[in-house]
Amino acid sequence: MCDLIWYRISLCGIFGMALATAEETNWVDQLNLETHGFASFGYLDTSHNNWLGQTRDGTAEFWEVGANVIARPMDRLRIGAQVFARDLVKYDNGNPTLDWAYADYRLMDAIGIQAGRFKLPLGLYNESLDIDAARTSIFLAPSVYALRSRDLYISTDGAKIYGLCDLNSAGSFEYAAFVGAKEFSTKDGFATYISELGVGDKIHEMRINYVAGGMCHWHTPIAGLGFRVSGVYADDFYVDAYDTVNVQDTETHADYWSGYVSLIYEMPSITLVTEYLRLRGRGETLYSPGIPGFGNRIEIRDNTEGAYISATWHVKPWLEFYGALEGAWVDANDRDGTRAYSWIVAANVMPLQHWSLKLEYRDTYGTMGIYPSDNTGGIAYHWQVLALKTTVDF
Amino acid sequence: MRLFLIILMLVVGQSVNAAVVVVHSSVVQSEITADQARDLLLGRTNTFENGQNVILVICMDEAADGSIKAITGRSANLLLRGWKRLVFSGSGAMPMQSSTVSDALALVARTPRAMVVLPEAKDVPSGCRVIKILDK
Repeated sequence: MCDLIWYRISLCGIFGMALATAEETNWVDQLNLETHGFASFGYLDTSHNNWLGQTRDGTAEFWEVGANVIARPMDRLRIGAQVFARDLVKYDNGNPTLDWAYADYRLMDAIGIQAGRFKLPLGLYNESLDIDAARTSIFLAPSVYALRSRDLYISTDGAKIYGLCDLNSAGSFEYAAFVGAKEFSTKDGFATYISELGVGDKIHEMRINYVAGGMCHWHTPIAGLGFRVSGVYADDFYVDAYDTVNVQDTETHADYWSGYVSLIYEMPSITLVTEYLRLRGRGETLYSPGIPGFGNRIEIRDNTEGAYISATWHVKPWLEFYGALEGAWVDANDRDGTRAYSWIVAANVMPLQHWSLKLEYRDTYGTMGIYPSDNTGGIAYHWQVLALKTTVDF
Repeated sequence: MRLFLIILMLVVGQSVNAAVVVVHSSVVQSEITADQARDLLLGRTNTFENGQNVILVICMDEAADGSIKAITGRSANLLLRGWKRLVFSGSGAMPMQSSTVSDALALVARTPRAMVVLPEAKDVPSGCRVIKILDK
């Protein structure tokens, strides 16, 4: 409900400001308004397994759009909001959400403060997870940037302090620390995903008591070489649900820790990146009435781990190639258990500065991320993904 | 070894001598280090050393591409993509853009606190001045 109000207020704000921009009134000039947006449309086809829904016959349910308004009414102050919608096969289905809405005051380069809904600076790319125009590949590595549980770590409602400190001959140091809370929409893809995990098909409520975390990025004295560590703690991720099949109420409480280590080396023609994620979740799901043979409680022990290494070759201003190796494990303490190893190649052609055409091929060994509910005929160990996408932005 | 060093020089970067920084006359700063110019262009910072706020102008002219690359290690296109990342993730506002060097100079001349990186200081109009880049 709260999210809906936020969304409507922001939508009115965005359109109101956009109209005002057109009229070019004096007060608008003083606000230094700017509007930006993007739209991506794609096609996804998989072989041997369905992934993210019914994809074996190909699907065009693969798009995202976003629009924002940013105002700079005075020096150092920035105010903005963005509305975002995506369709990821069976997830989200185009439900619009308030992506971010904040006020940002940059007191000095070393200290800035942001309050409102903001994206979490986790890993190198979590903040730009949805922005196809900002990368060469179609998918960010799913081993590190989860596709289905995007909502969990994409943003929070709270406050962030950030800045950059000059270390002279040792380079510079960028940091961010944040705290916030979040209530999740029960209609979005995240709710669909949580249902798939077995807590029930009707989600009544989903929220996080609070999240707290931070990011440190060292821009080393070697030009283009950066090292980042980031992490977040999510306290009491709570789900209240009902299972219509087994006629059970369920209540889930879990705490999650996520840690990211990232290394990036940007050269004029080549960008090399490697990132590692370790996720740890502890909690329980209570069932009422209980499950015969299991009692009324199932313990949650999440030990997911993922990593990738990638290289992007910026051949021409209008042409780029991408290659990567990825690994993901459901249980970091059992690498022989459910896992997925992938190699990926992608090409990005940009006929215009604000228009891109992409092609990506993923070859995967392993069943992590593949669900029996999408693959009633059985799950294959070796499977492939072919994705096409075009994006325009302004 | 020599071949390796030559390749490394070609890959890693170019001299900042290939670039000049032109600012609006309201800018108090008289010099800027290459690292400070890089941080401003990459959106990591948005003030000069004295605390004065910067309005960044990016010149998309092919002639300016080398100067941007010399400072940031990125082409103007890649730089702009980095800015898209900042703008759509809620971490920044888009710099002003110009398609030619003369347009960039005209834009800086009429925009208080504006700054642009160009390949050379030629035909700088009144209202603008060139500030020195220190190679740190």
